Amino acid sequence: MKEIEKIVRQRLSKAVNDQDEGRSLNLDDELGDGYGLGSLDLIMLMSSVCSDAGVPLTELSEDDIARLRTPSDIVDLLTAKTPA
Amino acid sequence: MSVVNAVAATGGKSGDHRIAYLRKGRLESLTLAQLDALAARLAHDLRRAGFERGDRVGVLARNGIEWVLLDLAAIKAGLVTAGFEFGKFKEPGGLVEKYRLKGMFSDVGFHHPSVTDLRPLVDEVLARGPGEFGPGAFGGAIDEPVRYGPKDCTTIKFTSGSTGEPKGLAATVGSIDASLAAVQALFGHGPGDDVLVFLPLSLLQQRYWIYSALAHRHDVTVVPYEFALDVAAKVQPTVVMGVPGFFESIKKHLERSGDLVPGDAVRRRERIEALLGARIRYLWTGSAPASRDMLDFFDGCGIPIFEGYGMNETCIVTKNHPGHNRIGSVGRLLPGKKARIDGDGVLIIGSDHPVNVAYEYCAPGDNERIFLTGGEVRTGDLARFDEDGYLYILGRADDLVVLGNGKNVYVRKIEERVRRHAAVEECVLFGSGEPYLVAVVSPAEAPVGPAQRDAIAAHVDAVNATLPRDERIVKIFIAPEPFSIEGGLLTSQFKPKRKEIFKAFGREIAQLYGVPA
Repeated sequence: MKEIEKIVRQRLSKAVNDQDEGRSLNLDDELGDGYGLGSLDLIMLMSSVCSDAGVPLTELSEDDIARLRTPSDIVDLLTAKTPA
Repeated sequence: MSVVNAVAATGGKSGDHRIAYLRKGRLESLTLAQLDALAARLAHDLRRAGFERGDRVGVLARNGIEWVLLDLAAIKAGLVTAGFEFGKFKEPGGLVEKYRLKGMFSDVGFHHPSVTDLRPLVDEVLARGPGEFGPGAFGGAIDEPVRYGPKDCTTIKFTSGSTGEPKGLAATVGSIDASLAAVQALFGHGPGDDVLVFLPLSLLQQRYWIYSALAHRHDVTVVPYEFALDVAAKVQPTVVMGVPGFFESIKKHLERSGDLVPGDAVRRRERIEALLGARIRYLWTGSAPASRDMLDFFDGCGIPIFEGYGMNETCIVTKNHPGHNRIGSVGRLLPGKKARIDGDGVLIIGSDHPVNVAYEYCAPGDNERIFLTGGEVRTGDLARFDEDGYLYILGRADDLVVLGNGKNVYVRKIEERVRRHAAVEECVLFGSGEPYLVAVVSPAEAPVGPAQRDAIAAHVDAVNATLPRDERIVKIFIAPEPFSIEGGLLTSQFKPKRKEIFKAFGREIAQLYGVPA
């Protein structure tokens, strides 16, 4: 599993009170309607994921964040922002 | 002192305090004196472009220095701002006729033949930078300051309902000045403070903090909400204003992080400070119901959080504050506010300086429903005062749910649509103070089998697909058997009893919000 995906799974599992470190979370479920995260919960999630991944949140634009629909979107976005 | 007139006048602002903001991903700042000078320059340019006192300018933009500058320039030039919530209003051009706009500043591209695009004017002033705008830099170009009387209006504010036509209300200078004076008397903001503003500047109350900084000489930091925590850790604000949902999210985040130790308030405080900075003097919350647990989470570790009460139509009515904080209440009346409880238990608010006495934009009947003769406002909230004058909000007299993010949702029509399915007898939505709506469904028949569950879920999905985000039903609980009069969940007229249903299924509803069984 890629490092970014691992971080997203771990942080998402805490955000939704999942008990197995996020290993079984479906990354294609919707963050809002699927995982029940409000917009403010999403900001908390993004702040912690960015901190763990070493990507400053301000590297992302408001539009980037507004387009996030699923955990996979977060993985894709941060992967694109992380130096290879 | 009229703060609005102090903002309108150019000069005399602090060169030792600053406004910080994000621009292209970087944290930048201007001293308040520089901000004042830039706003004066923009006001001058607006006048040269043909704007006259009373002309309206629309702003549809994220929080940023452009919003702030335009607002201050409009006050200096005597223009009326109409702040549209970014993300909610999609078509800037469509706002022009409806709200009689002469100018528009928008983060969304638009073209309209009869409105001036204000972006080039704002960008040009910003591009020159503050360097040119020292004392006397205008060489006589500073215009005579506009003077406002208490009944003049500087802005149109809109209700925060999630759908439909928002109601629009022009705010009087008297109401703005009275609110700012009362807040200053309670909290004494001054040179050591830095207020973090991340809720939308389209909400007039958020712009109050800019006016407060200019008048009372303190720092202020303005960012889009997405970057609130990131910037808080950098600037270490002393005051953070958030809706209850924001503070609930912090609490939930920390509780689920595994970093907290039960009963260890010192550690909890450290973890909160790691997010919001170590200089917090107090947290301000309101606009939606706050839970006792959330308030205790912060207050119990020495980070005061003060809940208050107000509406667009009344501005701030009550506020807990240092030395007068009764958790669970929303505080005592601010000077200049009056309150009474009517025969139905509904809170009625009067003001020495009303925000206004009628909406300028609303559906037929709205004015009569909200504004009473004499300028009083019928809030729709059920409330009581204790013997010391602290106000407690008990719920709504109607079908309005105020989510934790402050968004108002009228749920009855959504419930009716869910009820149209043959497998659904009743549907009641909850979400007061929570991040999203949940449904408790009374099934048409019991027991409820998997096929019926799937059918109900598919029906709710179909209803959701037609609704904006804040109106969607995110989780459903299907009761084991239909509600009944005998069971105490229906009235004798077969209407659902919301409070009793909430009480009966409190544990299941909590689980829908992620609380473990």
